[in-house]
Amino acid sequence: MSSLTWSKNEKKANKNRKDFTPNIYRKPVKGNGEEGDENGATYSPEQAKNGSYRQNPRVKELEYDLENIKEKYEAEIRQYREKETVLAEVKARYESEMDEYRQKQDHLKKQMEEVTKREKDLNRKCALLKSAASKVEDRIPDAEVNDLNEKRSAFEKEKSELEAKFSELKESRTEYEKQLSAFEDNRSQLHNQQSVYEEEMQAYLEKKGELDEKTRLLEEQLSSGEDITLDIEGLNFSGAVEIVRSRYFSELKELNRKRADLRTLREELDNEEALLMAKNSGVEEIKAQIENEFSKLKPRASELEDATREYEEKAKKHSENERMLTDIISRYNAEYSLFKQKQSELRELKNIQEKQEYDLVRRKLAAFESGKLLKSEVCRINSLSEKLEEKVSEFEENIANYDTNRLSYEEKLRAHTENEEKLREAISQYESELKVHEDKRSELENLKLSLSESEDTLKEKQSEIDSHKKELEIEKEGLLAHQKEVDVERTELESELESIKSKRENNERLEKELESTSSELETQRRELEELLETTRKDIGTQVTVHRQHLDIKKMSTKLEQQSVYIQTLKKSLEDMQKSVENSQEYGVFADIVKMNLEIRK
Amino acid sequence: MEDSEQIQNGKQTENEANEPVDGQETLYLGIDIGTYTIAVCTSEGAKIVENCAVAYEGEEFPKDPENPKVLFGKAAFEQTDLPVKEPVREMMQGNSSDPGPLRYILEQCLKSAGIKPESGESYAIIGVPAGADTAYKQSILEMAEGLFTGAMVADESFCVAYGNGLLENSLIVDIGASKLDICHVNGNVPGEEDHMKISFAGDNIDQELINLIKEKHEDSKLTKQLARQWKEDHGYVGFSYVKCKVELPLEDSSRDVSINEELRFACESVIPDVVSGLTKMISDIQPDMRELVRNNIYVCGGCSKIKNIDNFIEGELKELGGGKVSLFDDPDFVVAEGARKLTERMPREFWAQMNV
Repeated sequence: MSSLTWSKNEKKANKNRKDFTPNIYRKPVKGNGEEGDENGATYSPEQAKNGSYRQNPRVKELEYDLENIKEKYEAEIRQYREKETVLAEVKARYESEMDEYRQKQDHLKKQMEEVTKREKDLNRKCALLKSAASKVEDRIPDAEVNDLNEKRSAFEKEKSELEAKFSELKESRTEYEKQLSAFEDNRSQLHNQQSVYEEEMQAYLEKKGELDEKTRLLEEQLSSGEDITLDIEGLNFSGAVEIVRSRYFSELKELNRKRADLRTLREELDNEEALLMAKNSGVEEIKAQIENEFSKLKPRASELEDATREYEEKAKKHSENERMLTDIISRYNAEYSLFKQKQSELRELKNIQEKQEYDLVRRKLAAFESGKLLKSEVCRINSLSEKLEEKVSEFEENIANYDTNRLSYEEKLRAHTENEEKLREAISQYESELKVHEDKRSELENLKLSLSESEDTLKEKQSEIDSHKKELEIEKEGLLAHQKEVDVERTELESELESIKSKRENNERLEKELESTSSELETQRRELEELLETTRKDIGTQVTVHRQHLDIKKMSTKLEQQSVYIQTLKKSLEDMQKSVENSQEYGVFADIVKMNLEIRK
Repeated sequence: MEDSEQIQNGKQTENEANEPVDGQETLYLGIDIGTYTIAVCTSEGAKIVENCAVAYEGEEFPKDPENPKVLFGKAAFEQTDLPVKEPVREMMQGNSSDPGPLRYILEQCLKSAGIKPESGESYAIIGVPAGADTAYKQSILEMAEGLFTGAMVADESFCVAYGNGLLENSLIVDIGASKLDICHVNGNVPGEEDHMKISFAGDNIDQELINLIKEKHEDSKLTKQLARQWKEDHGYVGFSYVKCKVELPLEDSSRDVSINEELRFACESVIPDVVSGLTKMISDIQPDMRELVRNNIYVCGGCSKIKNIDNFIEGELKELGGGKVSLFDDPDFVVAEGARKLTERMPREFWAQMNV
């Protein structure tokens, strides 16, 4: 409370006093005794008789001021209450927002925990994935793949050789079949010729028998001296003999020729058979060679099958791992998207929180300003109360002045009475006036009474002011308490602000950590993508190897089919051989039987 | 050989289908009538081998064969009272055409084994030397007439080849008692051009042994039978660690002597003939088939029992182009076994033709 305000107020008060106090109620200036004396000279008994004492401008002014102060005080109290309600509303809002903020903070914490948990899970899964991928990589070494490729190439080489041999065998088989068919034809021809020969032989033997018979008959006839006559006309014995001889010789010649033909045919057949046998032996050798190679190939095929089985198992494991990897990646992606979503939500919440914090700070500032205003108001109230005290002291002074005035009046009254005594002399003069004077005296007494009444009212007002003062003090105390509370709240708010700051820092730290983890996750993701790429490449190579393996399998099945076909060919060859053997055997049996028949003859 | 055995065992079932339904099994016999031994194999699994000799009084074989004074087989050789006759040798030499003694020996052999061919259907193939004349074969068939339902003769070498699955390009060397046959078997029944007969054989080895021992031990009284026995027991060619000590009979006593050298020389005396015969046979074969045939030489007959004969012949052949010589596990029955298989495989209609 500066002296300036005081001076201003005084000036204002003076101004107000000048503005609102008519000249008649102008307070007499203190110290201006002469003037007072002069003015005192103006308080004539006539003025007192006109009732101007009762309408004291000073009292009126004081009353007016008091009313103004009261109104102002009430308005300020009202304003203060309004501000208090606003402050309470702000406080309630602040508390509700603080609750919301706490709830969100808890939610955020939970989410953070979840995120860290998921991150941990993801890290663990990533580690598992890495270990699985490394295991997979370890399990399928390049050497094995190379070995498999070498085996495959060797197998293909052998297969091509085998195929070439097989084609050779096929060709030789077709040749053999052709030769066999030719041989069969020759054989059948030979059989036919043999049967023809046998038939002719039979006929020849029959004819020979007939001829023998005829010769015998002729000889008999000749020995008996009979004339030899033949059934044929114009033939005698010698002619007949010549004919028979010539026929016999021609037939013999024919027979010899046929026999020679037969022999040549037989020789040819033998040669063909020998050739066939040689070829057969060649085929057998090729067959044996093929079997040999097949037997060599068998363990390789089994090795290949084992390798294939191992490779299949590895491929299976690899595919499982791959599947796991894809699952984990998909889960990771889902979790990463969830994490991103939550991160964005967190950012939004953070923004909201920042906004709220900003609002809160703004509100705090507003509260602080309102508190400041309140303080200034309190100061103003204090100054007003001081002014009121001054005014009360002035009023007291006025009352003292009034007392002095009364004393002066009493002195004057005494002077009057003295003047009355002096005037008793002129009783006669003033007998009428005395009555008036008594009236006036009664009026004055009435005024005095009214003044005492006003004094009482003033006292009452003073007591009221005192009570007001007391109330104001109480209010002041309340305000002080409230200020204290506000201070406490302020400190609390500050502490909360600090805690918010710390939380914010913590959040920032967490955010940084999150960013770092996200960057780590990003790098891990990149690594995983690289791993995925490498695994894809591996899968590609594995797929090609698998395809090649399938081709090999196909080839092996083809080879097996071919081997089966070869087996069937072999079987058919064996059957044919058997049939040939059987036919040969049959021929042999026939020869034996023939020999035995000849022996028996 | 096992394969051929299996094949032929498999083939046996063909004739089993031709079995008579009356319950009696058909008997198939393979008979090897050699100069010195007779061997019989039956489809029932019986195997008989006996010396092909008979001893009886007089010139003619008694009409009553139940005569106790008629001895056959080993018993004939073991006695000295009666003159021992080897009917096959006599028949082959053309000295006799009486099949009685041979039939008697065969009957007795079958009887000793409990075989009664006349009780049911029985078929037999009798092995004869490849170059045997028709008269001999006729005599053999005559001998078998009435004894079996059906009988045939077949070349011994062919029977050997057939029985052991050697029908393709093989050379069968049959060193018997009286002859040495080398036969080229090439799928068919060998003809005259496919075989070679050399008269130097087991008997000549025996004689050589006798001569050699006689040269060394002038007072020795060695019989052919004993020399044959020694040859069969200890005969070897080439080199042997075994010392061959025998009790050499003298005029009035006996002496233990070592006959290693004599036995070796005697046994080796047949080798030049065998080698030259083989060389001749191989040279007659087509050049491209020679290598095949050369490595497919089999020795059978009584003299194939001479130890190390296969390696010795192989050694000798090395200087003449080489070759592979093999022996049979059971040389006594190799012909008979082949003949039995032939009998079993022979179709019924052929037997029927023979019976007509």
